[in-house]
Amino acid sequence: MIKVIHGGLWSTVQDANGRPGYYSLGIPPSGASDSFALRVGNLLVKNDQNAAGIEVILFGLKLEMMEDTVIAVTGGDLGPKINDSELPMWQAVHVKRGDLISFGQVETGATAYLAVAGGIDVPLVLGSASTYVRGRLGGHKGRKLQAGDTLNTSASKADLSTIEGRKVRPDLIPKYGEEWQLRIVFGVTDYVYTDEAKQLFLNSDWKVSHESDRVGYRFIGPKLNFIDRKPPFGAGTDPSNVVDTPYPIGSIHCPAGVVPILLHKDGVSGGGYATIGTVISVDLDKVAQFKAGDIVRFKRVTVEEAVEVKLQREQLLKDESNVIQSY
Amino acid sequence: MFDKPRFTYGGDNYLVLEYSIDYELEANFRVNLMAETLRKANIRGVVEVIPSIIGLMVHYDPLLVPPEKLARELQDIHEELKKTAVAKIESRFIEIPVLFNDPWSTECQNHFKSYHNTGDVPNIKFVAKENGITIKEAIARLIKPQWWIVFIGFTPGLSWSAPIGMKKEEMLQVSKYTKPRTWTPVGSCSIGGVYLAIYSVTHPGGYQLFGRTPAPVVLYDERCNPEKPLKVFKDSPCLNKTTDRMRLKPIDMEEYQRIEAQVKDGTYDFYIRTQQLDVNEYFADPVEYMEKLEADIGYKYSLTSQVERVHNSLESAVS
Repeated sequence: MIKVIHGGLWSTVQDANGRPGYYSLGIPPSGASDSFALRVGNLLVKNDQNAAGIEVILFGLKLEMMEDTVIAVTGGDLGPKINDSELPMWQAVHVKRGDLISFGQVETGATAYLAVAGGIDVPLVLGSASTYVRGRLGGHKGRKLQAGDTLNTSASKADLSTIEGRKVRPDLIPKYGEEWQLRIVFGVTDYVYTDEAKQLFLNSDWKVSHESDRVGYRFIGPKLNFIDRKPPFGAGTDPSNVVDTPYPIGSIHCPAGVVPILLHKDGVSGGGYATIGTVISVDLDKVAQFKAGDIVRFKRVTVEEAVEVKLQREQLLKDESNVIQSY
Repeated sequence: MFDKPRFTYGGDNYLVLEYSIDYELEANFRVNLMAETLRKANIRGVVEVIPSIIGLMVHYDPLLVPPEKLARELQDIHEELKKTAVAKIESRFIEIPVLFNDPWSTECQNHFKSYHNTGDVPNIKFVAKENGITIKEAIARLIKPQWWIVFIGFTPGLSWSAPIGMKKEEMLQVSKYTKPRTWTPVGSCSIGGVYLAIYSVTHPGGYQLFGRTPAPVVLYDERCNPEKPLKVFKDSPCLNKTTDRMRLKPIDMEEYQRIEAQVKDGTYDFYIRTQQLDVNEYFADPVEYMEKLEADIGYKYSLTSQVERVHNSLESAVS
């Protein structure tokens, strides 16, 4: 059991896979915005990779451990502390009843995960422990954590003594900086953008806006132009308008050509703005670590290249000996 | 409408089919026919089929089915569908009780008066003005048609529907608020562009408000009692899906409160009838065909008296 002393800016219970399969009802997949970090955290504490953990955004979360257990903190370095000491990241750490876990200062990245042996135990909604705050469903009471909440944990399948001390292979620990590259597959309604606009999109440095969250991330940069065409019936008259199309998770749209929006795990399933392309699923993990002011460049890839990246990611995580350091 | 849907990739795990550039009901019919067929086909690797207004999205696992293979399979299914002369879509008729000019959406309209295009409260005044018709006629155009759901999304269970079996010239078209409201009461009934939208949760939005339904469209509606969920949510957390046809039934405050109480104690039952919509018969005579579908289930209502009652209840607000 874990008690919440301070909820922090935005802390929610999430599992790694979320709840795919309900997007046609307007319920997005949700789930950990940096699924790699949560899956690795779960591996460290010998959970199923999909076990529920706590997603921590930026600052303020403070927890009291109510029993002895093993935890792992992965993802962005948000200055995790155990009582007054630094809590080492990307490794399984033994904690005692009464220990206080807090996140003091954002060093690198923006989103961290706390995985606990056994996993967080919340009632499943539509098959998942993930929280979808806008829909008021899932996770802990369908909302972000607040002071006074208590979270149950399931019993660990493995002996705690076999978990404590496990570490991630150093070469696999991501280094989060302030400049990023996102790989994107052009498509959906990209024909509405001019060729110059597409080139400009790929050749510009985009600045991450502070108006960014699990629903969508916004970018500041040059204005993108649209082809000259008669407005389609039922679309509206702005050149960026299309008759509402489905929006893949990771897709990028640019209302009126300014401030592109990238839809993330809590995104909306469709809308009336032209899509330029979709960021590949593996790179969505990077987006979770963006801070306002970071610089992003987009690199165009084919769907085959995108699938290859996904295949490599799954092969890596299939075998824990690829990820966990052996002694 | 395209002869062949345009295929495009959404990253590594979504495939999007576009049937048209303009809004055309026929394109939407094709989308739903394809969706129905795909769902029954149970293709390995397909996670979900997501219909939209004139397009369809397939969420798949590329490690179970490579994208090019899936695209080819979808093309084959499309060709097969084209060959079938008979085209029927399963479509449910659902009655939605609506208190026109309710106090809650009225309070909201007043609160956000300065966000509105002209400050007209009730908003239906503005809807009538923009369409060059009387308020009475605007009310009639909300009650008269069956509303065909073309898309569900933005919030869980939020449906977007357009009138079906109504001449284009008769369809209401209205601008959204100049500045979107930061909240709208759950259950609010609204119109924007040509679409009817019923707020599934308390949420920001910019559509013109005209009433409120006491009936929840999602299981997570704050007015529902989690201990006593409604029967209708047994198989899905959302009332609606694309291909539903909704009819707005005007009610008074007394009936609103009666339904509200039934929702709280878990006994409220929606009026729902499942039918087959014949696409060819529809296009032969849309207006008559929609009337026939209602006659087939024995659904009767008096447009004139309903419009009269709603208009009378609005008189004091409007004058």
